[in-house]
Amino acid sequence: MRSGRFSQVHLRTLLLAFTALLGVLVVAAAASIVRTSMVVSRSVRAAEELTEQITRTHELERILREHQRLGNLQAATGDPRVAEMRAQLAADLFASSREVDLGSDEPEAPPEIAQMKADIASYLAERDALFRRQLPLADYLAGVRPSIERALSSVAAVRRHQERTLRRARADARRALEVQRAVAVISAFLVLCGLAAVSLGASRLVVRPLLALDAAVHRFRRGDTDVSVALGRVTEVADLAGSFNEMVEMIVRQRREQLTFLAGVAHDMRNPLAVLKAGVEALVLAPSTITPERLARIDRQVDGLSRMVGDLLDAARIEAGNLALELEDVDLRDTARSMVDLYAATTSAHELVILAGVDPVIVHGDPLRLEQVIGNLLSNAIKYSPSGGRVEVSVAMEEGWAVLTIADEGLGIPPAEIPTLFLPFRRHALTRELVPGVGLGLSITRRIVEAHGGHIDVQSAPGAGSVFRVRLPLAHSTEAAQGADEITLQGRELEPLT
Amino acid sequence: MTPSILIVDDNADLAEVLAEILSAQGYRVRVASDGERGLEMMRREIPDALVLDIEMPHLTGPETADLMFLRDAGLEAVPIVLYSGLESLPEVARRVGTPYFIGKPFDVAVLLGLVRRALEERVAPTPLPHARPGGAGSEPTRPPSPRRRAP
Repeated sequence: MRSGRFSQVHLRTLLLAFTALLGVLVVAAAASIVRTSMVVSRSVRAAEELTEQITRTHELERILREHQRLGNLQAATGDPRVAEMRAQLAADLFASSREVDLGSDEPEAPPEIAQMKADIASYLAERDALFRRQLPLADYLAGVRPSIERALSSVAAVRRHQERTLRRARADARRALEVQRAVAVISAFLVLCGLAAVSLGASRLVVRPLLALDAAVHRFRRGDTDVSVALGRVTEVADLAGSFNEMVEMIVRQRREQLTFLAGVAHDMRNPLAVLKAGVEALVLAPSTITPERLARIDRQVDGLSRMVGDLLDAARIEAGNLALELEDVDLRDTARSMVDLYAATTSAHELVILAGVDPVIVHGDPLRLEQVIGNLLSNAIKYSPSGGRVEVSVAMEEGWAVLTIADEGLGIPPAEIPTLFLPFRRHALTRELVPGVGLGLSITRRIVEAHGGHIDVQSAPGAGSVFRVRLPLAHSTEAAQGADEITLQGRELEPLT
Repeated sequence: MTPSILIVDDNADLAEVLAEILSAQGYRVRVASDGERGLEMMRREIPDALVLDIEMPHLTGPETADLMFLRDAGLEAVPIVLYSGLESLPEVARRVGTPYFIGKPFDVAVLLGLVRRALEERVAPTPLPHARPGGAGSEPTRPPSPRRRAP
């Protein structure tokens, strides 16, 4: 479900990779097409050049034959105009033979061309030499024939060579064209593949997780709370999915805690209500049995209910951030003494003792809220010491702190319950079958203590009693409350004690 | 002989009110403030019915019922009337194995009817195997017992 963080990529990296992949593919395709185009055009150019050369060679051959014909005519007629035309043609022959080549691709002129030029030159020299010897016409013609035939055959050799080269060049051009076609097809195919890979990758890595998230959001809106989405491989998408999962978890947890809270409140109110109902019904059944004790019993339940409603209001105020503290310098010894006196009057089974030094223990706090703290702890100590016993309240100073401890010899608290002791009701009250009526008292107590810049803890073991210890900053060293005559309790999440 | 009833509840006010009401009906009523003391009092004299709160510090109602079943001869046949403010009361009652239970706050008349029924029918609790003190999640140590009736 949850893929490792190390295998995740950033969206930007992913986009960069996609772009790079497509870019490399396109550039490679373009480069290979350009390269093959160059090969094709070079082959075509070479073929064109060779065609031209072959034309020239044909021309040379024609001039050579013409020269031969005119030479023979000159020898037969002795006409000076023919001699002039022949001399002109000889010059053309030289010029034309110089132009004959095999095309620019050949590194050096092949031996055929040199041979041809030499043969033409020797033909001309031979004819001039024979002409000057004034031979009879038949001898002259027979004397010239071998050299002209040699020259003609070497011109033909050059032409054949050129034709071979041309065929080769054409074959090269055809091959290059085929290669170019193949390269174009392969490039198009690769670019298409790249596009497919990119869109597939984008769909798998980005689009699909986003759609899953969208579906989860819709399911959650319809009330389905089991909508955890997979994180996926792209960091940004995974972060989004993770935030969504956390948000869902938080909302579900808050909803459960609210239900727990409501169930806890309802549950706690049933006890006094049961006593009230039964007590009133008993009086209705037998009106003659109304006694002060029975009325006092009913009164106690009404008091208990009032306290619960007060606690509920306090809890609501704290959650809303509306519980203001009116701070003044308070001698914690006085507050503790008056609360001990108050609670001593409510029980005959318990011995309430106060231990305090002679020096005043001054804290900067709200006297009413501090009384509430001590009262809550005292009433708990009494409530959880059902068989009576000693409840010891001590006020002392310790390194800049005022330390108030309330120790009882009561039932004690099982270790498993201590971490959740200061939370409003129990987190799992709906799933556990037994919810001891912890109520709101201790969570409110802890909130008040912490708003004063102090903290509260407890040491307890089943059967060994409990010691609640409240530490508040002394007035002269108060940092949390210094300079402020009024602070407001904020409704923040209470963490379990560790 | 008048039937005897034991009320076990840590809430002294409620226990007293119930004791007064049941006494007025002619029952012999005793009150214990927690499970441990309730067990002690039952050992001294086995009551005809037990009226039991569920949530008590020290020894809860279901734990007390379990110990009655496990430990003390004769106590396993005492019918138990459970009451509680818990939402899960029917489930707890099923685990304790008693058909008599009532949620807080209750009508006194209904509770009295329930106590009368328990005294007449005397259906002994038949706890489920896993309903033992502190036993959530551990293996059952005794086989489920058949439902028994007192003579």
